[in-house]
Amino acid sequence: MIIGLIYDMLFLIPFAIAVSSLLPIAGEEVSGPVFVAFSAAAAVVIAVIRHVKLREKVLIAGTAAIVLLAVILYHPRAERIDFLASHIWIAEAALSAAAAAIICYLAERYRVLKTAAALAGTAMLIGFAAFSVSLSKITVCAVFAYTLIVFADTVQHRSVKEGGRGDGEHLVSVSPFIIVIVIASALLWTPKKPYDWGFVRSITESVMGSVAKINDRLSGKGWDSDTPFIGFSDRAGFGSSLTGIGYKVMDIKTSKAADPYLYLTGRVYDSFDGQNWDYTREYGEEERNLETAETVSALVGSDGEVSKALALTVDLTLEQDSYGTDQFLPSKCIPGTLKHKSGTEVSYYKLNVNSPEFAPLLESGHEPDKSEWSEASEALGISGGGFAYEDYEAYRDDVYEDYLPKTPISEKTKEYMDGVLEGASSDYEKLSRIEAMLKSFSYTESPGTLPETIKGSADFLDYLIFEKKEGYCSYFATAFVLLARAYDIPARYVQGYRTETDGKMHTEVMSVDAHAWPEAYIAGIGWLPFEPTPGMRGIFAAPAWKTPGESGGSPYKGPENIGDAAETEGDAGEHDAADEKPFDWKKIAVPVIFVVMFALLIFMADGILKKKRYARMDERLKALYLCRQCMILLKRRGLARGESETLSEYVIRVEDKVPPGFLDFGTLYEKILYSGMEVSADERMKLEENLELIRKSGKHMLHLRIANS
Amino acid sequence: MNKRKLLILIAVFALSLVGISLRGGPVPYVFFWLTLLVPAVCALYILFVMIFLKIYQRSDGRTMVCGTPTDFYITLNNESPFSFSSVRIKFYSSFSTVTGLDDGCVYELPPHSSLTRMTPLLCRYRGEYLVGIKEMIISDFLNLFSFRYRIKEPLSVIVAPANIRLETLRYLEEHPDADRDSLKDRPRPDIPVREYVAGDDTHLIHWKASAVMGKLMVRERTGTEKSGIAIIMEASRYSDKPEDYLPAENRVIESVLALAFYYMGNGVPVDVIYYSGRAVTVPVRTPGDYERLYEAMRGYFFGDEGNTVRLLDELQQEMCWQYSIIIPVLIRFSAREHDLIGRMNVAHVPVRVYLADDNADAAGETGGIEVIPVGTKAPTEDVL
Repeated sequence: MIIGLIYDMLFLIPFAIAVSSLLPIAGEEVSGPVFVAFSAAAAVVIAVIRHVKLREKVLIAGTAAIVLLAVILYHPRAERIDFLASHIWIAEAALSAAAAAIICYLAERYRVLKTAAALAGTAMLIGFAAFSVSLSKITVCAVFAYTLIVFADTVQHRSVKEGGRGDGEHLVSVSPFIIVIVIASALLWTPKKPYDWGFVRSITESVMGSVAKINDRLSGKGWDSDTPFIGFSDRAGFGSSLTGIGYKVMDIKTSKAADPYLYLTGRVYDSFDGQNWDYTREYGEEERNLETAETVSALVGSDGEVSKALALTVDLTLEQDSYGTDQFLPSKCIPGTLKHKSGTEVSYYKLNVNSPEFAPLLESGHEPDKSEWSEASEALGISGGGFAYEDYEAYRDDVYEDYLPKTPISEKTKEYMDGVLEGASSDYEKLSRIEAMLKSFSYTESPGTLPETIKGSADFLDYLIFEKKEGYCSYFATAFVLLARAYDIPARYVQGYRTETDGKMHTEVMSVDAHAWPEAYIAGIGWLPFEPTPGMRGIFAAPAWKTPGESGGSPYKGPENIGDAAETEGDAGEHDAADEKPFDWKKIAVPVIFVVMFALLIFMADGILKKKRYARMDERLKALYLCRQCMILLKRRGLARGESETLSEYVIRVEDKVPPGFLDFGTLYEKILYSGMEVSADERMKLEENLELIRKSGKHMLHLRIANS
Repeated sequence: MNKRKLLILIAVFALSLVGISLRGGPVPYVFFWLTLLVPAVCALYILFVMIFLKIYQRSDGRTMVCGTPTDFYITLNNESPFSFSSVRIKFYSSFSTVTGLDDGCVYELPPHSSLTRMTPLLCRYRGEYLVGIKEMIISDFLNLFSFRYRIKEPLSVIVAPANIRLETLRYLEEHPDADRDSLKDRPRPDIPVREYVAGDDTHLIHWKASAVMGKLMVRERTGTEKSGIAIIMEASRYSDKPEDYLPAENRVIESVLALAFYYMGNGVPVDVIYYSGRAVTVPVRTPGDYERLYEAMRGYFFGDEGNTVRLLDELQQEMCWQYSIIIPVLIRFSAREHDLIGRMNVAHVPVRVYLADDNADAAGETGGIEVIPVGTKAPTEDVL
C-alpha cells in the first residue's frame, strides 16, 4: 500500500502544484506559495484516501467535514458568508487538487494520457517562454518534475527486465534521484534577463584585443598611424570604415564619482582642408591652464571659492596600458595638479552644466574683467607667471584668431541652417540646435571613403547634410565645428577618448572608446565639449547634482524626538494590552471531541459490520478469515511469512520464536488452501481460540523475542 | 552510450543554451539546469550501482571436464535502498558457453533483494582460463547512459581434457600393415641392431637394416616383445593468443587420449611419448595406465616452439624398430619435422601424422609419411 501511495503521489503532487500555481487565487488575499502548498496537501490527502480501506476513507472525510463545520459554526451567523467568501481559495485549492487527481488516475489507466499531459505541460512552458509570459518558478519546476517522472516511468514500462517487482516499486525507489534533480534545479539561479555571456565575451575580447595589439605593433600601426581608427594621427583623416576590435588602453580612478560621460583630450586641431584636420598651434599646459582659469572666473562665488553647485573638484589617476606617449587629460584641469608618478595624476573641475545655476552662465556670454580674473587666479592658487589678465586677453584673442577662421558654407547649407537656428538668442542655444540637428542623422561605422571632390568646408557640409546623412564621430564633430564657425562661434576639433563611467570611481578605457568631438568657445565660460554623434551623450546629457543641504531629505531625529517616539510606543503598548483576549480553547477542544467521537463511531460501525459479515460466512470462509487474521497479527509482531516460503516452512522457521499453540492453525490453513477440505465447527472454534491467544499475547511475545535474541 | 542518445543530449543542451541566451526567467534557466543535472545525476546513479552491486559466481567444483556441462551459479545482490534499474551480464564466450542465460537479458534488482540463477556451463577446451561473468553493463533509470566494466574477481577454472571413446578408427583400414590383428599376432622383427664388428656371427646380420644403413648391421637381441603403436605428442605452443593455441592443444591431447584408449581397449600395445624436459614414454596397456596418462595430460603444459623438434631429435633411430606404426599428433608439420621423422624412421615403418591445423591441406602423403589433417573445429570422434 505504501508503495502504491508514494507512486501515486509522485505524479499527483507535481501535477496538482502545476495546476494550482497557474490558477488565479479567488477570495481573500493569500500568498501564492500558501495556496500551492494547500493544494499539494489536498492532493496528498486525496491520494491517501484512495489507498486506504473504506473505514479509513470515511474517517478522513468525516474528520475533514467536522473540522470545516466547526470553523464555520464558530463564526457569528452574520459573518459566516463573508468568512466563506474570503476563504473560498481553500475550496479552489481542494478542487484543483481533485481535478489533478482525476486526470492522474485516468492517466494511470490510459498510459498515453500521462505522456500527453507531460508533453502538453512542456509545450505550454515553451509557448509561455516564447511569448515572454511570466511564470512562477514553482510552476515551471512542477511541470518539469512531472515530465521527468513520466519519462522515467515510461522508460521502465517499456523495458523488458527480469527480477523487478513492478513499475511502481521501481519508480518509488529511484524517485529520490529525480527529486534531487528537481530540487537542485529549483534552488539554482534563474535571473529574469537572458544570460549575457559576459565571461565568454570578456575572454573573447581579451583574446582578440591582444591579437589586435600585437597586430598593430607588428604592422607599425598605432597611435601615430593614419588608419581610419578615429585617427590618432598627425593628420586626422576620414576612413572608409572603423576597426572595431578593442583592448584596454588605460585605467581611470577618481576620488569621487567622475563625469558620467568623461572626455579625455588627446590632440586639438584647428584647420580643415576638406579631407583632413590639422593643427597650427601647439595645445599645451599653458593654454589648458588659461582655459580652466577662464571657466573658473565664471564659477567663483562671493566667498572667493568655486561654487560647489557649479563645479566639484575631482582627483583623477590615469594609468596607461599602452605605449602611447600622448597625454590624455580631462578638460578643466586645475593648474599645478598634474603629476606623473605611477600614472598621471591630475585634479579637474567637474562641471554641473545642467544645473539651474549654470544655465545663466551659458547664456550670458559675460567675459571676466580684471577683478574677476584676479579672483579666479586666487581661487586656483595661481598668480603671475602667465596668469595675468593681459595673458588672458592675449589668449582670448588667439582663440578667435585660430579657432574662428573664415568658414564658407554654401547657400543651400546657409538657408537650411538659418532655418535650424532661427530664433536662437545665444551662442549656447545655437550650438545646442546644431548638436541636435546633427544627432538626427544616422551613425555608421562604415560610411565609405570621403569623395575626393570635397575640397573644403562647404563641400563637406553639403555632402554630409544633404547627401550622406550618416557617418561616425569624425564626420559629426567636423560638421559641428564648421557650422559653429560659420555662425561666428569659435570651435575646434578634438580627438581623445570618451568613456562612460556610470558614476563609478574606477573605469577601464578601451581602444574603441577613442573618439572625436567638437568643442566650442562660449565667451566667459570658455571651451565646452559638445556631442553631435548620434546615439552618444555628452556632458549636457549628464544629470545635475544637488549640493549637500539641498537634498530635501527627512529631518534628523535628534534626542529631543526620542521622548515622542517613546511616548507613542507606550501608548501603543497600553492599547495592545487593552485589546488582548484570552485564547478560546473551546475552538480546538469541541472539534477534537467530535472527531474522536466520530472515529469511535466509525470503528464501532466497522466492528459491527465485520461481525455481521463474519456471521453470514460458512465454516470454511470463517476458517480462512481466522487464519488470515492470525497471519496478520503475527506479521505485526515481526514474524511475516517470506515471499516464496510455504506455510510448512514458515511454521518450522517460526515455531521456536512463539509460545506453544500459536501456530496450531498452520496445518489446518494449509489444508484449507490447497486441498479445499471442509471445516467443521469444532475446528473453526479452535481457530478462534488460536486467534484469541495470539491477540492476547502482545507483551509475552516481546519477552520471548528478547529472550531468544 | 549510443551515438543517437549522445546527439540528442547535445542537441537538448544546445537548445537550453539558446533558450537562456534569448530569454530570461525560470523556463529557460530551469530547463538549462535540468539538462546539466540529469546527465550528472544519472552518471552518479551508475557509479552508485557499481559500488553497491555485489556479484557472486561459482561452479560446482573448480575442475571441469571439457565438453561436459557443469552447474554454474550467479548471484546479484542489492543491499541499497534504491532499485538497480538495468544490469546486464556478459559472459566469457571464447572458450566456454553459458547455455541457460541469455547475454542480452536485462535484470532489475529491487531494493534489498538478490537474484540467483543457475545455468549449465560448458567449457570447450582443456586448459586453465577464465569462465563465467566477464563484464557488467549498468544503465541508469532513464536509460541515458550505459557503463561497461569488467568484474574484479573473474572465475578461473582448470578444464580437464575430454575422454573420447572411439568406436572405430577412420584411417585404420587404409594401412593393412597397421591393422590390429597383424599388430597383435605377428612376431616382430628383432631390433635393435648395431654395426657389424669383425668376429660377429654372420647369422645375426640383419640384411634389411644393412641395406638401409649402407653398412653391415647385426641384431643385438632376438625375440624381444615390442609395442605396436607409438603416439608422439606435440610439445610446442605456437602462439601467445589463447584463441589460437587452446583449440589446437585441446585437439592434440584429445586425439592422443582417444587413440591411446582405443588401442588399449582393443588390446594393441601403445606407447604415448611426450616431452617434459625430456622424452617421456608412457606405455598404455591397462585402464590404470590410461588413468595415469590422463592425469599427466590434464596438467600438461605445452612449452616453447622448439620442444617438438627437441623431442623428435631425442627419439633414437632404434625406436622405429620397436613399433609397427608411429603416429605423431602435431600442430605443425613443416619440412623440419618431416626430416626429423624421416631420420628417426630408418625402419620405414608406416607413419601417420595427425595434424591439428585448420589451414592444412587435405589428407595426403609426403615422402612416405601420411598426413591427416584433423583440424580443431570438427568433433574429435568425427575426424579420427
